[in-house]
Order: sequence, then structure tokens, then C-alpha cells
Amino acid sequence: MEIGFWGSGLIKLAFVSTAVSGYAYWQAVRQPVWADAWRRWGRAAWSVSLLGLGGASALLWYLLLEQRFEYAYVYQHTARELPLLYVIAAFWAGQEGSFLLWALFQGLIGWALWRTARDFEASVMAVVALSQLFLLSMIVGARLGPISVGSSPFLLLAEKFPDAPVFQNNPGFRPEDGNGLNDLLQNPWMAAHPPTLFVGFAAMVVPFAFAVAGMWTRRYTQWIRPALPWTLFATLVLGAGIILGGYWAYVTLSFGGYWAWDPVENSSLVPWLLAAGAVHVMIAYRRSGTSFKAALLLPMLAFAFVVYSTFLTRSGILGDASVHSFVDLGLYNQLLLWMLSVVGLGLGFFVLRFRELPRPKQDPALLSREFVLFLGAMVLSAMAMVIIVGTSTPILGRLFRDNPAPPDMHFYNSWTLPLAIALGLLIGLGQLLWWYRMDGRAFVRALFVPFMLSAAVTALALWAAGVREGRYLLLILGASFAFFANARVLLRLFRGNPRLAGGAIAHIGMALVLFGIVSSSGHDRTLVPPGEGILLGDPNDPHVAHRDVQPKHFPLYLGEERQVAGYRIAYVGQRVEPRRGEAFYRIAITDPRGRSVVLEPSAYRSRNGQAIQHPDVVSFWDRDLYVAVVPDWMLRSEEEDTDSTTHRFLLRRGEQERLGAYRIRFARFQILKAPEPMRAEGELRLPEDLREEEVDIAVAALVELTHTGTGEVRTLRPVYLILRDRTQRFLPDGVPEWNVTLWFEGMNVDQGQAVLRAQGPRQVPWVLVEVHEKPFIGLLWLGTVVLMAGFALSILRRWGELRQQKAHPLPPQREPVEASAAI
Amino acid sequence: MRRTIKLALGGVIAAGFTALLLVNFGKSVGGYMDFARAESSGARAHVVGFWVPERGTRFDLARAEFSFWMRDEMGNLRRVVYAGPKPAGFEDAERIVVEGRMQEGIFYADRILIKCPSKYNDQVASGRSTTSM
Repeated sequence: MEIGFWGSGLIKLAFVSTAVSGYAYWQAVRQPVWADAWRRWGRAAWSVSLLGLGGASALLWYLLLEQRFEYAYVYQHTARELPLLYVIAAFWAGQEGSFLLWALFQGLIGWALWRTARDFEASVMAVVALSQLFLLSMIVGARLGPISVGSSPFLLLAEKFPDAPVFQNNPGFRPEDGNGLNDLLQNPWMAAHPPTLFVGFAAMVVPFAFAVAGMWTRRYTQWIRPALPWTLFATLVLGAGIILGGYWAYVTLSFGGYWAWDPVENSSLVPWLLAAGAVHVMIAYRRSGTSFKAALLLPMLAFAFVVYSTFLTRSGILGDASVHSFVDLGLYNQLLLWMLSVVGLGLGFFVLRFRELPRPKQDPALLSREFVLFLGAMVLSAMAMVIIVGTSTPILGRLFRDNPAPPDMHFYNSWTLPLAIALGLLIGLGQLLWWYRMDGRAFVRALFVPFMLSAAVTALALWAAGVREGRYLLLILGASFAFFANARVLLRLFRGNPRLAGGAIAHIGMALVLFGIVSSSGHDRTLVPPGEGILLGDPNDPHVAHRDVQPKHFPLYLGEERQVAGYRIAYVGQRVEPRRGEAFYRIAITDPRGRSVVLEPSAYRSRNGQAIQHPDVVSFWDRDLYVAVVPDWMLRSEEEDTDSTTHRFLLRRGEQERLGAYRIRFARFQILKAPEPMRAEGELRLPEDLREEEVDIAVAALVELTHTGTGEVRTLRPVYLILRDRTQRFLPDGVPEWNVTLWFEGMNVDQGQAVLRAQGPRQVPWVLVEVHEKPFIGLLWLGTVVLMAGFALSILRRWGELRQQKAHPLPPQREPVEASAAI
Repeated sequence: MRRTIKLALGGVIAAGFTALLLVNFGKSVGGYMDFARAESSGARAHVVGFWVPERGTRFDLARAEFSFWMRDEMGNLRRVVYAGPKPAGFEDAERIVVEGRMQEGIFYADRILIKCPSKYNDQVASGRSTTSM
């Protein structure tokens, strides 16, 4: 039998056994007497399902590695010459494979879950199984009468495209080579980004399942303790996945940054923000029994938005809005159903059990750590809401207009910035309140040093770094306050109990992230020579007047060096990498302090004809330099318009303009023949068909032509003639070896301006360069690493607590007293 | 009693935030339209269409401007001028979305979105000049 048959079969097996497992676990909850027996069934069925998924994945990898191009998935995502790493990564290059990977991870997480969830096993696993069932329905590829459910990764080309002419003529056709993986995805960071993201998505189901299970089985508070390490884990991994994607975009794509508020990016950030909020209210609840409803709702919302974003990005609804949404595979209804059932399950239980939910005996005081934690979670949720609203334009925008198109980035930036300021301040305040006693004097003392230090940093930003915008200054204040407050807490913890340092470390990481964002994005400087891009431009030129944005690029000729804001930027050469024919353009940059680097941004045409550009980045301790190029050959069209090498200049005396790799400077007029009383300043040489007496007036323009690469200067003397019959003639002058010819075509005597026309110069290779200076962007990457480390430490701690509790079961009084009293 | 006041206060803040957000969102939402509508309204517009290869493309080095002819989904043909180089993957585009303004018969785009036929991760064509992070 064919491998594809087995692969599809294994997915179907996994689907059925997941259903069996879910049913068994459901029964285990419903029939406590038979719980053990049902649970055994549930576990066995889950194991079968996991084996099925493992087998299917192994087969898909086998097909990819064996280059079985008769399979649609292999054909579409790999090619013969693809390096091994990317053949392996092609597994998740498409929609079907990435669903399979997600399901595999969710299967593994379920397997780990039943080992650790103890008395929550049945109820939690029933919910996870439901989610897994929906996920598998996307790839099960079954047909129920007229309705097809899901799309299998194991389809043959002939099954997927039965109408293609090649299969009409030759049913046994097997392509020799595949389509290949998009070159932009051939990057180690990109190979790691999707799997990390899917582990995060898969783990997000756990807090959701615990929250639902808690309400379902009426153990309203007990679920939080075992759910907490899982929530931390999901947040950690999802965060790592997001930042890997951002870093990939930064070093691989040439849009000049790491984040563009694209719907696909946004839709992974929203669950992260909500899960981070969930962690805080869960801890607040564990600590003192407050924020219970938020602790219940936020983990559920986090998962609901994982599903919602999957719906947005994979149902085809985003269509034109996103640069990288998937094509609709006909999964719209299934995705919608999944989303509705997640929301329905969570909200349904919440409403059903609302009257039974525990209530805190008293609300926390305004300046208590519980309230600050709650507030922090609310700020994170508000950020999530801003992003959800913006990302949901295809749906929400209809309230405001027909055919809504997404808002531009300004919307996101201007809404998230104040929230980020609040976040920074709350992070500092919350941690100090958490670790210092809350009596007034001690707290003020603890507050004093961090606050003064952050004020100093802000002052430094204002005076030394020249930050002038109030909102950026406030964000710097917030971020540095968060940093110093947590540094203080950290120092104290290191003297006491370093095991508890996870929170402080994570918050230091977050502070660095905020700082890195405001410095690198708020003060991203695009280096463009002044006036570049509007060389011919008088401001009345409609092209210049109508343009909303200034160009980010400027041309640089081979051998030329230009000075911008203290930087010297030169195009010094190029080299070609043989495998893909990728051309690296060597751009030498010397910064204002004299540090020199050569960057090698690249551009090439991929095997399938796609034009690819990769930027290059060099990191100094205080800034990154980011360079992207667009080489000349990408911009020339086949029928290059003929007058593109013709330029007209209107120059005053002493003014200069750029002409290809040259500078053209108009020195002065020189009168060669004129009526009295003016006298000639030079000799007039005429072509053979003209006699001197035919000429009334003859004026030369003295023009200096400088080669910007070598610095060589030539002086040209094109001549403007008015003949006796009132007609004009122009006598050109040129530099043949530079292929430049110059005509002097008119003058404005009042203004002392000359009208010059230049033909040429000979094509010297050039590139358009885009250079960004991004101050302290390194803090963003460092911050994420620190943030992750903090999360990891917290997981270890919470996990340890959980194990301890299992080893020596504690009496229920350990649960927050107020809460249990209220039940 | 105090609890009710707090809840009410929280509710008012949340509602206020949501209302403000939605109003601002409503103002920020752009609109997909054809060239004719973009011309008559003069507003910022997103236009979906196709490049007309017969008319070629043109890059003006002096102005650092890329221009081409585009036919929108209603069949209107207009010249599009973009303040930047040709976006990567332009020739392979299945569809093009241009964002900008129509002025005197020419569409001045500050952003071009390329929809490539590839399934996953279509090309990122161009960010906006100043706002990407």
C-alpha cells in the first residue's frame, strides 16, 4: 500500500482515538464510581492517538526526505537542492503540516498532563481532547457526503489537483522536482520560529482546560495551583516563538524592523499578553484570594484568542489585509465552530456557575500588591484589546464603513504606548509592594532610590541623548523605574532566597524590552543625505508635493562614498555566492567615532524567479546599523526608457547637482561673443557649418564635472548660441571616456541660472541603499532572554511547590482562607 | 456599598476606554475602493488590482520613485507612483494592494502590498517608511 494511505489512515486513527479518549474522560467525570476504569480507557486511547500522530509525522518527514514529489505537500514545499535543515523544516511550511505539528505537540502535552494533573486528570483531559479533536478535524481529510472535513497533508498531486491538464493526459505523471521552499523561509531562525509558536499554542490549552475543569467539577479554586506552572510554560514558549519571528523578520526581511503590526504577528501577541496577565491574577489569587474572576477569565481568554487568531489567519478572512495569511483551504466553518465551542464552553460554565463562584471577603486596598497585580493584568488585557480591535478590521471595521481596510501602524503605536508607560510604572511599583512591607515609611524608602535613578536616566535621555518627545521620555521613565525597582528587589533576594528571584528577573527583562523598543523604534534614524530623492525637485513638482513620505533609499554608485550625519557610507564591491547566485553588496560604513565595518546585504533572483533581498545588520554595544539594498538590475525594466539617462538641470552659479556617479557644478557664464559694450572673455570655436557672422550671441557655461569615486575633475564648456535669424543652437561638450555629454540650453540672466542638459553617463553599477541606525536595539533581544530566564526560574519554583504539595498533601486550609470560607 | 462604587468606577473606566478605542478605531480604519472612488473622495485609500505588464515599470533614480500602471478590480487603469524602489516579488504578484492617495489622475502610494501565489508567508513587500518598528 502507498505511504500516503498509511499516513492519512494514521491521522484518522488519531482522530477516532482522540474522540474515544475524550468520551472516556468525560465519563470518568460523570461516573465517579467507575472513574478509574474510564480513566484507564482515556489514557489508552490518548496513547493510541499520540502514536498515530507520531507515525503520521514520521511518514510525512519520510516523504519529504525521500523527495516523493508525487505528493502535493512535498511538491509544494521542497525541491531537490534544498539543504537538509530546510527539508526537515518544510514539515511546517504549509497549512496542513503546521496543523499536524500543533496536534502532535498538543498530544505530547496531553500525555505529560495526565501524569501531573492528578485528581484533575479526567476533567482537564476531556477538555484537551475536545480541542485536539477540532485540531485533527482540520487535517483528517474525511468526506461526509458532500461535505469534506479538513485537508490531509498526504494528498497526491493528482488527488489535490485532479483537473490539471497534465493528469488528464498522463495519470501516472510524477514531477521531477518540487516547487521549493520560499527562499525567505530558508533561514535558521525561521526554521525554529513556527515550531516554538506551536508548542506555545498547544500549551495554552492547558490553563484553559484547568479553568473549565475547575468550574465543571466545582473545584473553583484548587485548579489554580497545578495550572500555574503550565500557564508560565505556555507564556514562556509563546513569547520565545514571537521574538524568534521578530528577529527573523529583522535580519531576513527588508522592511527595516522586527515588528510591523501585521495581523499574523498580532494574533500571536494577543494570547501572550492575556496569558501574562493571567499569570499575575492567578498569583494574586493564590496569595490572598483576590481577583478570582479575572484569574478564571484570563486563561480562558488567552486560549480563546489562540483559536480566534487561528481563525483570522487561516480562514482566508484577512485576505488582502495581511502579508502572510494562509490561503483558505475551506476550513472556515470548522474554524468558526472550534472558536464558538471554546468561547461557549468557557463562558457557558462561567455564566452557569456564576452564583457559586467564590467571592473575596474584602477588596484589596488601593495601594496593595494585589491591586497593583490586578491593575497590571488589566493593562496587559487593554493592550490585547487594542490589538484585537485593530486586527479584527475585516469584521469590526464594517461597523464604520464598507470594505474596511486595516488601520495603519499609527493606531497601534499611539494606543499601546501609554499602556506601556503604565505597565513600566506598575511593574516597578508592584514588585516593590510585593517584597517590601507595606507600611508607609519603609515603602517610601524602598521607592526612593529606584525612582531617583530612573529620573536620572530620563534626564540623561533628555539632555545627553536629545530625546524630546514627552511620551518617549515617559516610557523611558517607566522602563527604567521598572528596571531599578526590580534590580533592588533582586539584590535583596540574592541575599535571602534566590529561588524566588524568577519574578524579579522576568520583570527586569520586561523593562529592558520596553527600553529597547522605545530607543530602537522611537529613535530609529534613517540615514539619507539631505535633499536626496528630490534632486530635480523644486517643491512645485507634483511628484514631490503629493508624496506623503520621504524616500528611505538613496543611490550609491560603485566606488562612491557619501556622508550622512557623520557617517561615511560607500559601495565598495560585490561577491556572489554560487549555490543560489545570491549577490552580496559590500557596503562600507564608518561611523562618527571612526569605527569601520563592511556590511553585506544581498539581493538575488530565486530559482523560481522571485526577487529576494536580505538586509545585513551589525551590532555595536550602543546601536545596530541596518543596511538593505536594492540593486540596479532589479529596478531596470526591460524596455528601459530612453531618456532615463537624460537629465535637465537648472543651476545657479556655484550650485551643484548629482549626475549618476558624478557631480556637476555650474561655475559661471563665459561670454564668447556679444554686442557692445560687452566683450568676449574667451575664444569661440564653431562647427564647420556655421560662420562667425551668423552668430549674434555666444555664451559658454563653465561646468565642473567631478567623479565622486575617484575625485577626478574635468571642466566642460558647452556653448549657447543665438543666431542672426533669432534661432538658438547648442554646442555640446563632453568627456568621451565617461560617456557624458553636456548641452547648455538656456539661461535666466536675472537669476544667474543656467539650463543644462546632460546625456549619459555610462552605466556604472549602483544600488539603492537603506541605512538605519537603531540605538540600543540589543537591549530588546537581551531583555527577551532575561525575561525567558525569569519565566524558567518561576516555573521551576512553582513546579517544586506543586511536587512538595503532592509529596506531603496539605490540608485544604492552605487554600486561600477567605475564598474557601466563601464557598 | 463601597464595593458597588468601586465596581461602578471600574466599569465606567472600562467602558470609557472601550468607547474611546472604538471611536478612534473607526477613524483609523481605511477603506478598500477603486481608483474612481479614490479620485472623487480624495481620501486615503486602499486599492486592490493588478499590474499591467505591457506598460512596463519605471524607476526614476533621481526621484527614487517607482511607477507602474495598475488596473483595479473595476477595470480602471491608473498610473501608480511609489516613493521607493520596486517591491520585492513585484512581477510575480497575483494581486497588488496600494495604499495612498489619488491626486490629479495619479495614485501616490506610500505602501504597496504584494500578494504572491505562494501559499504560506506571502512576500513582505514594504513597510511604511517611518512607522515599522
